[in-house]
Amino acid sequence: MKQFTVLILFMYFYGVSAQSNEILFAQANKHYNSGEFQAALELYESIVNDGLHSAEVYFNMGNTYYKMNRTAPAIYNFEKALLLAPHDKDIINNLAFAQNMTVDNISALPEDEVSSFFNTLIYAFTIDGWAYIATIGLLFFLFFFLLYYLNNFTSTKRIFFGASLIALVLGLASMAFAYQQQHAQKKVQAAIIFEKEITFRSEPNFRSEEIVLLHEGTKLYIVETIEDWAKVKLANGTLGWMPKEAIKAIVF
Amino acid sequence: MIVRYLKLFILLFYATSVTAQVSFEAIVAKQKLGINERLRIEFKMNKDGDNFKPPMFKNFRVIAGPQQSVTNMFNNGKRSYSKSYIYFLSPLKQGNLQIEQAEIEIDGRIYKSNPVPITVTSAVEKPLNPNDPSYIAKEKMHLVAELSRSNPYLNEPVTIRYKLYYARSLMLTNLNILDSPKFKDFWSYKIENKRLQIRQETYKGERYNYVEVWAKTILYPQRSGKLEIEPLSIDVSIDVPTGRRDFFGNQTYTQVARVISAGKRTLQVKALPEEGKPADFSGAVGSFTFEVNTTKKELNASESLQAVVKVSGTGNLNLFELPELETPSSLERYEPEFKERVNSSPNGMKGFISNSYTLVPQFQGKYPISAINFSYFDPNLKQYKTLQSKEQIINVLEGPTIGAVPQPSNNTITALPQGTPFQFIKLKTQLKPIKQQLYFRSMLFYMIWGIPLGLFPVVMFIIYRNRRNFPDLSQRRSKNANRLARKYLGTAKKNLKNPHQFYIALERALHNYLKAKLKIETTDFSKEKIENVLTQIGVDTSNVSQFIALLERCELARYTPNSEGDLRADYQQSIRVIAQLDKQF
Repeated sequence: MKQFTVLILFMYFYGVSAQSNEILFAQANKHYNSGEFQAALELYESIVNDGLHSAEVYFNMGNTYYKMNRTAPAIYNFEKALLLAPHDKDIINNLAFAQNMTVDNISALPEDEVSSFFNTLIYAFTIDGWAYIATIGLLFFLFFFLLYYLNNFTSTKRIFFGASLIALVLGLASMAFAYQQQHAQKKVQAAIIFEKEITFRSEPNFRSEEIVLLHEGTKLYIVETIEDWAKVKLANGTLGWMPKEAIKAIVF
Repeated sequence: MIVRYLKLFILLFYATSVTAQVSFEAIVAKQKLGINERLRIEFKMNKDGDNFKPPMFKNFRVIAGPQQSVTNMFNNGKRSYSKSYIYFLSPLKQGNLQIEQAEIEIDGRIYKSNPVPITVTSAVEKPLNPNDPSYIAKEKMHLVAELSRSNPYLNEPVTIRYKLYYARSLMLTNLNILDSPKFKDFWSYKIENKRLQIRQETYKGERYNYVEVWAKTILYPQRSGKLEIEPLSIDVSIDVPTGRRDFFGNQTYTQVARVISAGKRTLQVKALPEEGKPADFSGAVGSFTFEVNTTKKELNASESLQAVVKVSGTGNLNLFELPELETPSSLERYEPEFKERVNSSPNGMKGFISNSYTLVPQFQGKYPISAINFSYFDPNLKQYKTLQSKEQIINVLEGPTIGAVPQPSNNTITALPQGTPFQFIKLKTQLKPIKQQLYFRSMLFYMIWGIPLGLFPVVMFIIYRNRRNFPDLSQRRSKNANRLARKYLGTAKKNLKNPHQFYIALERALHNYLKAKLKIETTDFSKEKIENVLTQIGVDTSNVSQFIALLERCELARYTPNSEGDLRADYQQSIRVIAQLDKQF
């Protein structure tokens, strides 16, 4: 009973805070439209600081930073928005505008057809999307299998057996995809360079060889970190080190 | 007592007032000479005197003299008079000697000349005659390399000029450069002297005429440490007065040619300090200003603009690289055009150098041109300075957007922007807590997977048990009947090609079936008896009659071996009948 009250209270407060934050969101949009970008930004930030977010909040923040000519935070927020809504055309479009402002031109490694197909497949749904599909697949499998087991007529039995097999394969594959996606996200953490200029080095110290000079807004992947240094991988596959504080990982 | 001092003071005062008018001095041509050289000494007075009393000339031998000479000159109505006694001496020993005072009586007063110290050294190689023209040419002419500073920083300009000093009595007639320095380890800029200009200057305490020869050179040391400058050699022809006069009383000259070279000079070049050296320092030394300008701030796609990186000021302008312009990679950029306007002055080079980049944006959007740094070393302040340009944003207003491939224009009147422009913010949202737990691999997820999978075998087992206890008879029987029929009719099926054998096998099979089912021997039973037994059990009459009909056909076939029966139809019929019977047991 007590737990139930807590739950009710939580729901209530969550509802209230979401509501007030939606008002903030509308106010921020108003500021944006009248060109008061700093004010708009503060309001968007306060929503996120409240522990709430959505693809739209990050998208609008990205837009605001773009208008303020701040390349790195614009790209950073567009990328965050894309994590929540991977197929949103507006976000992809505006991200391209922001990426236009970056200095570096790192051409991505061409993916071979198999892994490209595999990647588009894996990222067709979010982790939870795949998890839901996996659950539904499992339930269908059990349902059809029972039908198959209980049925006496050969033809219908065959249909149910086939359906149960398909559901099982679907469920297990979805589970594998969800796992694969989560694993990939944990293994390589995408990040954005925030420093205007940063040297990309061969070792995690300032004495080592400078591989290339990178600039604000470039996306890269954190492979591992040691002390104040991060081992990162560029889009073209080059591995190297840079100070951790120069980059910001795309996480919520 | 006081009176005596006063008298002395007055006497002294009087004496000095008199000597101010009369001078009597000893003049030597040089104070340092070799023991094998001669010395000319002249006692000169400006008023006629009597009773000249030469000094003892201790340690000297008088070779000639005394010669007397008197000059009387009227200059602008003023008379100047001088009278000299001249001796030529030869020293008798080395060391620091002294020529004592001489005395003269002028207007009843006795004047004394100054004592002259003379240093006599060991014999010089060639006893020189001070009137020898080549001796004069050597002693009275100097080529000097003059450096504006001798301890410069790396890349700090040093001006070197060559001055040829010569005595005012000489006349320069010809000048030829034999060997000019190459200035390795330096970047040099030569400013040729267009014409020789005779100027006057004091050199080592004597007034000389001088001309600047060859060229003035601005040197930028390219290496730190001790750098040597090779000497310059010139061939000079000069007219030296012989001391004789020609018929008309003009001075006669003789021409002397001489090769003269300026000595080697060394420069101690200081390296630029390592402390505070900016990372992007490219070697600029001097005093500069730095700017990056664009010709346009707003334009349409595929139009072009110029971005100019410019450094102006004084210093080693063409000895360093301009910092590179930093533009977004999406902006088409061409190789820069280098421009310089540098004037060289003795203080270094002055002017500007610039790189002009042509930029062509392809898509609409904003293109920031990053702020770039230019660092240089200021040798006057002895420190590095870094200048930063301002960041600039180029706005491309119209044109295709990224992703849209520029289409060849097909004469459409309204030019619609290709692709999607920068999208406006979104106005509606559904806020969700950030710290939302993933459903995947959550407790719920595992439960939804685990519980049904765990329960499933249990359910299956229960169903299985229920089936065993309450089997569905009709289904199971039909299955059995088919199985049995196949079992009994197996041999009959093998003999489908042989009618006689087939019917024997079929008949046996039918009997075997009844035997197995009824647990009675029916081979001796008549057809009627079989019919009775079957009807007693409660088998459907139609089935019984079919069974009997089959048996009859078998018998008929056995006794009339040649009769043609439909073997296949009978076989099928028997399967059906057995199955039907089996259901009803």
